[in-house]
Amino acid sequence: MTKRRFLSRAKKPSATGSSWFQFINWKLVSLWLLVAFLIGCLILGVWAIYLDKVVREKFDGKKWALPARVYSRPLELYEGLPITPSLYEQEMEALGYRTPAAASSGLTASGQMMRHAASATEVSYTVFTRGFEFWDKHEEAQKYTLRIDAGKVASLVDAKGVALPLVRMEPEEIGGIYPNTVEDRLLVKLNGLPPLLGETLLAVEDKHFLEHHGVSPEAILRAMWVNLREGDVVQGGSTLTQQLVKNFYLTQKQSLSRKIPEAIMSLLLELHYSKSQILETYINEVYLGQSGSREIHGFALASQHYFRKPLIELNTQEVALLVGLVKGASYYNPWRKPERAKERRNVVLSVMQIEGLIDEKQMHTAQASPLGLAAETDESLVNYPAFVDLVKRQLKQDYQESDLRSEGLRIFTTLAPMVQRQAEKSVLARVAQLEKQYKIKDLQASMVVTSVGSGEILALIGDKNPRYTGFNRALDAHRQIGSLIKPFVYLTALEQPQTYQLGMPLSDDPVSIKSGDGKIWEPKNAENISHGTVPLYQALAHSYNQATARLGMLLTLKAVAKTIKAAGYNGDVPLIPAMLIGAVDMSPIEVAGMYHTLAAEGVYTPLHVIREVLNAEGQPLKRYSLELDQRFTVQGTFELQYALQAVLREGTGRSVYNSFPESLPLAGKTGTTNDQRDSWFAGFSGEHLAVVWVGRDDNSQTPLTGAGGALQVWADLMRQIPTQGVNQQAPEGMSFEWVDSHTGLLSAEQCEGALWLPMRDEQKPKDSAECKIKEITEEHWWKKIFLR
Amino acid sequence: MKRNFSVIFLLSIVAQLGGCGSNVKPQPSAPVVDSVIPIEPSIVTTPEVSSAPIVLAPVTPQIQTPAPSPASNAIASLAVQARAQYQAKNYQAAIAIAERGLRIDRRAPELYLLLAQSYFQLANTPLALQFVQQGIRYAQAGSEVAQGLLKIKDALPH
Repeated sequence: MTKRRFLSRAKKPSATGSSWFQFINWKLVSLWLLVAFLIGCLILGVWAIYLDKVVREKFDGKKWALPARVYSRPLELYEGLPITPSLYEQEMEALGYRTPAAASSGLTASGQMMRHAASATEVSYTVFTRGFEFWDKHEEAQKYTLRIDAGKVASLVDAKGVALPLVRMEPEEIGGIYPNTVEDRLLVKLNGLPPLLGETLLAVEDKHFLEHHGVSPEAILRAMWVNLREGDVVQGGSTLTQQLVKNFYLTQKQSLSRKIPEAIMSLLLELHYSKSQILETYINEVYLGQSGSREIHGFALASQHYFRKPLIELNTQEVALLVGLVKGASYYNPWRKPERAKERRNVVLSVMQIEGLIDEKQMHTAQASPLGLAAETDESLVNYPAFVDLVKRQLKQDYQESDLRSEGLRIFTTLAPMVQRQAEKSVLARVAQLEKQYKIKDLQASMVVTSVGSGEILALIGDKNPRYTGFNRALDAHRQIGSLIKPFVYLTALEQPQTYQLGMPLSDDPVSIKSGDGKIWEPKNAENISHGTVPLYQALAHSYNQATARLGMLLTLKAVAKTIKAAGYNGDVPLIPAMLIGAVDMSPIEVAGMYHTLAAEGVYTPLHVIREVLNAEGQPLKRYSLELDQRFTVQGTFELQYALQAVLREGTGRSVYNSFPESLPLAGKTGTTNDQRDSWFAGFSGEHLAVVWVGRDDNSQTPLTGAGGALQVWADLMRQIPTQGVNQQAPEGMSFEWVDSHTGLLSAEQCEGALWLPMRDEQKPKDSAECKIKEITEEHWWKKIFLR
Repeated sequence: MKRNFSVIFLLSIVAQLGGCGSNVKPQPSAPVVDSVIPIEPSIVTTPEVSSAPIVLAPVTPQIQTPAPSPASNAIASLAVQARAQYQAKNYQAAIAIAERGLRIDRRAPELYLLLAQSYFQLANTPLALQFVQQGIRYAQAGSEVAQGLLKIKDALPH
């Protein structure tokens, strides 16, 4: 009993202690749980606050780094513009103009055009333009009819048949300056969407977008059930808001740890922002394709990428394809997997019909239609890399690199796509032909084309492969320019009219010159032949080294160097005699800068590639105005242009003369360096100047002279672009006279050796040479031009 | 044509009698011996002339006057727009439009006038002068445009 009592006693405290401890333990656990819960809540709260900050900071701030967009010059159409149907059509095709599907109903929307051929040379076009925000004003969309006849615009009228003085087309986008992420997008607002796009997107991706608060539990449960049943992730339960959060804030990794913040951020996003703000951001954010390293984001850029037209111009089936790509732009790539893409598009079209967005007939018509894709673009980031390289270099003088890559600047350049395309064709085809002809492989080429007078660079090629983005030979390859220097020697002379004129006799006898270090320099003519006494202009036309060296030394090296500098060359000119026949290293763009001054009748204008810069909102930031400076007399450059025309008529460039119409006077100069390492030609019409270099990167010998290589490329280009001839009107204080080639005295047309040359009034000799009547066999070329 | 030639031929003989005096012209000298020392051209005699001296008067072909710019409507339209901007004192806008016109026809004197006037108003004297000079080259002497250009030239500080 005692023992039992003891036991019971002993047991009781024990029992009491146990429950106490149990009580204490439970309390402690509860407390710990409470503390843990509170800490968890606190952490969750802090985390939520942090996520809220993240959500708001990015959404309220600058959402994306926007690349600078680079545009070509806009094509200006007016009566009298020289253009061929083929060039016009290429330009319109590049701008994405299409013939409407139902031609009978005429033009119904912007971006459409129709062709009406009347004869082989006469073609009319009716066009419905797109509006565009230019530097100076917004050009409204309009309809016009253009008739091209005999290589020029014969008439330009509006939809009512009223004559239009001028139509400015929208420019072609030729490239961009991209952020390091290489994400590219064109921003669009909801009111800029085609009506079907938003509704189709919601119908396919998130039917209940307008009802939920960022997360849809029903959709998640439904997706979980389907995925469990299939044993794989086959359906997502994400709302459109969650998709945006995933793309905009988080990684693409599929994991539970990502799902939680995704859900919280979706709720927060919906808490702070309206449905329309979220939808607009989604439409600009979503990934819709790839072009090389460039990521295509947003529907607006995707529209340009796949269909080469603005979003607003998309039809039903095109909208369906883009919405279908949201599910997997790579998997449904319409160029690589057209059948798969078409199937996906047709599923979207079915959804559109079920949701009542289109009727059954529309669905069937759309499902039967082809994908209607534009040709797949080159995978490079820019269409014309050498040109855009120069644009970047000029922009960096005024803008920071980071701004160029992220501020969405709009850069309006001088590139003329129709000239650039022809220049590319000329270089590609001719270099390939030369390599084949001479059985060589590693020829390279570059070209610069400018407009005469404005100093605008219209085309630039830095490699024989115009899409190559590496070494830009047009800017960075400094090579000896050979005889391209000679016009500046002669210009130095012609700027001294009291002493020099085109018809004066010049000795081409051998010459030896002792340089400062005692060495003797003896330049030789190309074929080691001396030509005795020749008229000054013929020495240039035939590129005689001996005559030129002699003349240059008379003028002094300093005077010639001064002319070269005044023409626009900013580098150092070595004051050595060999400089007179081209021992000066220059790049093609430097040569173009100097020759532009010759082409523009002595007016120096810095070459440039940018016209205007606008910010992302379309506000003007900077204009690059025309600058000019009359550096040489009009008379002196007119005489020089005459001599440079003789290069093509009777001198070293005559091999291409017959391929041009008689009525198109052109001027230029060949250049060949020692051992034919460099083949150059610089030449111009009244509107276009082009400088071409052909050679090898390792500076080794080639089989090409200036006439055999570069001149051929130049001629190929000039034959293809509509242009006007060099000015033939003698300026004030000058007139043409018959001059005796032996004496420089006055002569007459019927006299042997008579040359018809421009002369300044004060240069005209008082005396005449004796004359021996010659039999006139052919009219002088200059007269043919005047009397045509 | 043949008759005209004969008349010119006879007249030229009469006109040029005694025109075969001393035929002396400057000509560059023999090779230079030092690359940095300039040498004056020396005087040389002309080569022997032919044995049957008949002297003809120079004949100048009839030169056609240049046709008006094929883009005259476009230029006129832009000139009107630029003028309106100029009158509204929007000189930069006037310059931009005038430059647009020069890209179409770089010999349009009215556009040079607008540029010269705009730069004059912006007190950019060097550019105003350059555009005056170019405009004068292309303007018809005595025309309204030429007079306008000369007026600016006179107003510019010398």
